[in-house]
Amino acid sequence: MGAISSIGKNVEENLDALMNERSGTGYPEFLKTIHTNDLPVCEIKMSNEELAALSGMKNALPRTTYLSAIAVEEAIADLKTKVNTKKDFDLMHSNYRIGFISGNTLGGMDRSEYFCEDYLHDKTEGHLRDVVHHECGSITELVAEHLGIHHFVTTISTACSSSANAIIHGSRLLKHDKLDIVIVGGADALCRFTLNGFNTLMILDPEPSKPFDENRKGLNLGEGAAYVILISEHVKKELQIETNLFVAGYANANDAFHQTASSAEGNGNFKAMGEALTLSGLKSTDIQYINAHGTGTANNDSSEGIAIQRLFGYNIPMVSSTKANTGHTLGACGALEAVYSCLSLEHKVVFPNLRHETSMSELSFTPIKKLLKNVALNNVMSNSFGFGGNCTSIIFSKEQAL
Amino acid sequence: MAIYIQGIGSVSPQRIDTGTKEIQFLQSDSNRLSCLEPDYKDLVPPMQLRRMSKVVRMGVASAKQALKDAGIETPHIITLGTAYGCLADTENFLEKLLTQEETMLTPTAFIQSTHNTVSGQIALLTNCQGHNFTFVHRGHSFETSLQETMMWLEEHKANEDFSVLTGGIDELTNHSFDIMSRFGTYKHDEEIGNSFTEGTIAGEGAHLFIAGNVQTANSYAKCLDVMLCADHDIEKQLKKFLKHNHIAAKDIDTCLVGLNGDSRYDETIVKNISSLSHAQLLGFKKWCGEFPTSNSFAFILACLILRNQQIPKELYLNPSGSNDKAPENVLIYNHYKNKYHSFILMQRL
Repeated sequence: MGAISSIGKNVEENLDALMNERSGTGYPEFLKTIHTNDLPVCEIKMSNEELAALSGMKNALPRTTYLSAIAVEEAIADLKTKVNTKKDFDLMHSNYRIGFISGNTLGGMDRSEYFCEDYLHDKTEGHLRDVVHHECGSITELVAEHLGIHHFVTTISTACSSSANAIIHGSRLLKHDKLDIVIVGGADALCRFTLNGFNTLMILDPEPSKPFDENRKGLNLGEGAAYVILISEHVKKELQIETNLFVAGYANANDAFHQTASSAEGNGNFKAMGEALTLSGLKSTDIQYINAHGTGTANNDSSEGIAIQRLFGYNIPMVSSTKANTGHTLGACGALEAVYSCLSLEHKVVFPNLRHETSMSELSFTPIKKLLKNVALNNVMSNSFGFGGNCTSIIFSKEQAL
Repeated sequence: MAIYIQGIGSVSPQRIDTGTKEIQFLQSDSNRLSCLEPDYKDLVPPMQLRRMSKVVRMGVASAKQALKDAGIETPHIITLGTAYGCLADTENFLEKLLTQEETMLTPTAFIQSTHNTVSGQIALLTNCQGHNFTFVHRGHSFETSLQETMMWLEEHKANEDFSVLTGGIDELTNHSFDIMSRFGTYKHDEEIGNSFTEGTIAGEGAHLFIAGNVQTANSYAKCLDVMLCADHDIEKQLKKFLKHNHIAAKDIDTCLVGLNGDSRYDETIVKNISSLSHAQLLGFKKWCGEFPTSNSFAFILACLILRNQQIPKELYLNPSGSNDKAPENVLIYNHYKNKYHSFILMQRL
């Protein structure tokens, strides 16, 4: 696993912040915008140059590229520590079929913004190097080249479920024996385009967000990247990799209701969670904890909460949203929360839903407000929902000791 | 496992009639080929049409044509490929953001700028609540989506009715044409048809189709396999691809090749398929222009060629050298910027 977000530049720092109820919310310092004192964001407090140095990549690339490379490199290093057969296992020079599937929603938009400042003035102006990485696929390609991954590389962009869908796609490629090892996740950096875009939708909270609170006012945007490495059963055996975590089920469904809003009954959410359960072969009572999408908008938290109630009935698992810590990291959030779900299973903890005060009137449940330790967790569900009615649910499980 | 193509949709610089199965070649000889947009009246509700940008209109119309052609109202799943997504809406919001200095902005363009807008809108209009993916990986966006389609159909091979709506979509805008021109991507008008100079011609299109597990009365052809080439030894990969599909090079009678008139690439591309000595070589980029998902146009052409058992003479790369064989095994070999090579194998029913 690898992760970088406003609450930490690696997995360990993220875990520490979650355990200690730290949030990355504050006003933008590195993002050049007029909204420096009215729209709080969850920003990684490092300049592009510092991130470039940390990633070992050249300057003037899109910020998302650096975030992606940093998290992927951490995931690869983490895998190496779990290999028991060879001391100097080198993933990139092994004979395995290695894939890299990354989700993002904005490609190199931050650089395109700079380019257009000059270009819109005069079509012959603007540095072409600033627009050359505009495409979403370009970010994935830059990181794949930096790390030397060639076998299979692709990019998924389905708004806020992009990286959750990258996890699904990777799982399916392993299932179809098209790959042996696959690095899956996603990345998105803050930029003016999204901050202003979400602002026009009037779903940004002018204060730090309060997911699942009756008086929630909206989301805070965040930035980050996260990846997990999925391996096939035979690779696990051959390399004697120490892990007991696995993807037990997943599903993507469409709400088919509205381009940006969820249906009141959360039909797509309900279908995604239900089908993920079916694929896993688990019963609804087997899920102990849901790391919810929980953005803090009136619409999401209500329809997600109602869908959870519809599916789980009287046996609602523990629920919390970690977006009060990290903000909504868009294309990265599915993978970031997948990492958090795995950390929950690994450390037997349920992370608290920060700033929750009042329960929502339409929901029968209240999210977990204080850190819970030594919880018997075997199956954790992680939800990610996005524009275009895109709904994804993934179940992470722990093999039970015999 | 083979999949069957049950219906096709096309919005392209040429006109493909899904009713008569005819291709009308209407425009070429320009360094910029724009789509001939259909009469949307019968395809998209007028209220919704007004709010759609060009790429969304094109995509939704192409989807509706394909569904109608296959006699299906709602597909089980949707998976699309687009390298650029919704460029016009992105440009629109970005331009206002910069010129109005982050003030007085409205949400419509932002909402529609998301890369999965087209697949989301199709889901909305067809009430498709199934799996809905959008791949955005440059010159392999369409091919990854096709690979995904084949995996889904294999998983549901017991289900004869299972249908996937899939394809490739990309739009060309004034800004994208101007910016790509600054990179030296396109030829000047006076160089059109001259493959001894650098550059290609710009294009766009929305080509969607319905794929299923069984042959029906509507079926056009079957698609046996798709390969996304991972390294640079393309000749070796072609060999591997054919071997994997138990087909000899000499049995490929027709090959749609992604030559784009750029002197930097064409020679290499022809060399890569020199083992296909018996194949009639056909070109398609003269008619759709170059864009990252242009291969979806070639895919639709292959469907029509195999169904009609006829090759339009406009596609011949060497007009005098027709091999007069009835099209049986069609290989589509494409590349984008001499990167993102791919092979698709199609067969007559």
